[in-house]
Amino acid sequence: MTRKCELRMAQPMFDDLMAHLFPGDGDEHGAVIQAGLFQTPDGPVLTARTLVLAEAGKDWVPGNRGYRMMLARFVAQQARQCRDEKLVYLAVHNHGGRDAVAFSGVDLESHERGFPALLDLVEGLPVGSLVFAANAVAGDIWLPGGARLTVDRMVVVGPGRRVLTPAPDRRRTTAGARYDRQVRLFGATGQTILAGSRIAIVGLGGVGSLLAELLARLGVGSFVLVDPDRVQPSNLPRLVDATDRDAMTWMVAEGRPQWMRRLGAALATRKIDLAARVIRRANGNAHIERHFSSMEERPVVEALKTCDYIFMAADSHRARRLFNALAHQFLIPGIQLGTRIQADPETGAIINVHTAARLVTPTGGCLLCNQAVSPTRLREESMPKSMLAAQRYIDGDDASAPSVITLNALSASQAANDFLFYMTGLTSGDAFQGTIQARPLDRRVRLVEPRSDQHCPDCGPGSRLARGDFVPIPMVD
Amino acid sequence: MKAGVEAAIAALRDHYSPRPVHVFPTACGGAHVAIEDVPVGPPFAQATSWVGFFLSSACPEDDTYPFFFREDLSLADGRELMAPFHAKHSFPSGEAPGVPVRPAVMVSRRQRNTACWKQESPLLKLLAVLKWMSQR
Repeated sequence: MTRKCELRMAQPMFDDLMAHLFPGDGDEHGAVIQAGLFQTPDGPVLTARTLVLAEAGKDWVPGNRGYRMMLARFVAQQARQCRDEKLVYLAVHNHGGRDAVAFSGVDLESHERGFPALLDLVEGLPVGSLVFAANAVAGDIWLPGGARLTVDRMVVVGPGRRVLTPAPDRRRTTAGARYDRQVRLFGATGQTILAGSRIAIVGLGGVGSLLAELLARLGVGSFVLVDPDRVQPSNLPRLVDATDRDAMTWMVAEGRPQWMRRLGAALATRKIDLAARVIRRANGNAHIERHFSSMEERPVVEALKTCDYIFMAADSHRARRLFNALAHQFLIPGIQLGTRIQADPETGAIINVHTAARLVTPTGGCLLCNQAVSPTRLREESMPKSMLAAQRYIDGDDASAPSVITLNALSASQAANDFLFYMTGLTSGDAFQGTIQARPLDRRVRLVEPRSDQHCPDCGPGSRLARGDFVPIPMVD
Repeated sequence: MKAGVEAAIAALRDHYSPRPVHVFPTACGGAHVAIEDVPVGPPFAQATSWVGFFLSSACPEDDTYPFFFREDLSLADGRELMAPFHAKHSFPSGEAPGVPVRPAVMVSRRQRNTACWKQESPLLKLLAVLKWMSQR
């Protein structure tokens, strides 16, 4: 049986490819995509990393058997580069039509003739071919050893998400009375997309808790929840549905014996379980996968690789570092959320309050390029507490940061809306893709344009971008 | 040890060979490292010192600091060592079972260039600190 796989591509590459394949001349054109590859329980995913356009008359010429072909020299050059870079070689061409496409008999014969030799050339990597119509794609991927994959969908990751398939999905979509009011905004198809979507919330504190409530009520169908902590009394003003019982308040209160406080802390509800309770109450059909650990565990990473979107609501810079790598390496968009409350060190007066919602996509908002990950903070978070204390770096840094539910709500609602309109494809093509800072003391919103650094190890030309399982993951491997 | 820590140690051993490089792995994938007989430059009364530091499990993503030197490190001209030199420390700092403790002078130099992401290997960071020290 032929297995299926998914192809992911960032919007700018997709735009370049479509402009090349469909310039308006009604002719066939060719290109090569060099792609990363990673495995998930649902099947392999190809991540388009590099697009090489075949120049008509030079690389793309009249065929001996079919209408057009790529010259052997061009093919061999691209395949060798794939071998050296550990990427999958994908030959691309187009047919006419719009919403459905398939390989012709001549196409498939050319695969039979050419792919065995290409498999030898790339030394253990898959090779394949894609054929595009204006709104459809089909793929035939050959694996070493004789197995084959078909591409059953291609996800274009842009301001809005777009999905191309070999043929239109004719299944009827219904949403029912429960979602009637929101379906009036994004349609039954949008509701079906949400029900089929899988998201991760990393950090189920003040922001993550609100996200769980919002996303579950929207009708998101599958959740990955990650948090290593249990509910404490000081969390109760910010966690949705949390009670004194969840925090074991009476056992952990000051003045209780130490053994009782320790027991109470150990019996307190895990934050992932509290969030799961919130989600179930809102959407009993939701699938929930829980990880009572930090993000830096291999099972968590494997779960995150299966997600359509990641909400980074944890404070740690180690988690931010890992999230940024995953977003770029596996082309998974997401958003990092935070609140900053600055006090004057001398007077204690509050001088700045802002919340931030930073989009992190394969083409913008990289946390490394935008100074949202600090090597110093990475260091401090990676040292044992006794070492930090001995080196006198704490200086009050262990004091808990201020946190207020209404501020958390600002960034949580921004992030949930960003996800909603991305996932349903309704975000404008020219939507602002940077950081949105809400400044409630001034009743102002600030838009921060994202920067990018050519030398970035996550998003620059020589980076891990779209390399899939072929490169190590920081903090984990 | 994490792969990044092992790679950093290999680079340090390669650079400082044949000087002894002592490595004490930690439970979370990092390591305490001590290199013997490292030249510290003419500003100092001593020609060489051992250098100790901690490689965390985030290596090489994180900044490597502080570095520890022999406890009697002093300037040749008699001037007192000022911050970021800190006397009366020990290496390794904090709890490090099984690692011999040495009284030390601590030198804490953090990366200052925050305009862009800079991944600086522990070897490059150590060389940068030694160069900075030689210019005191």
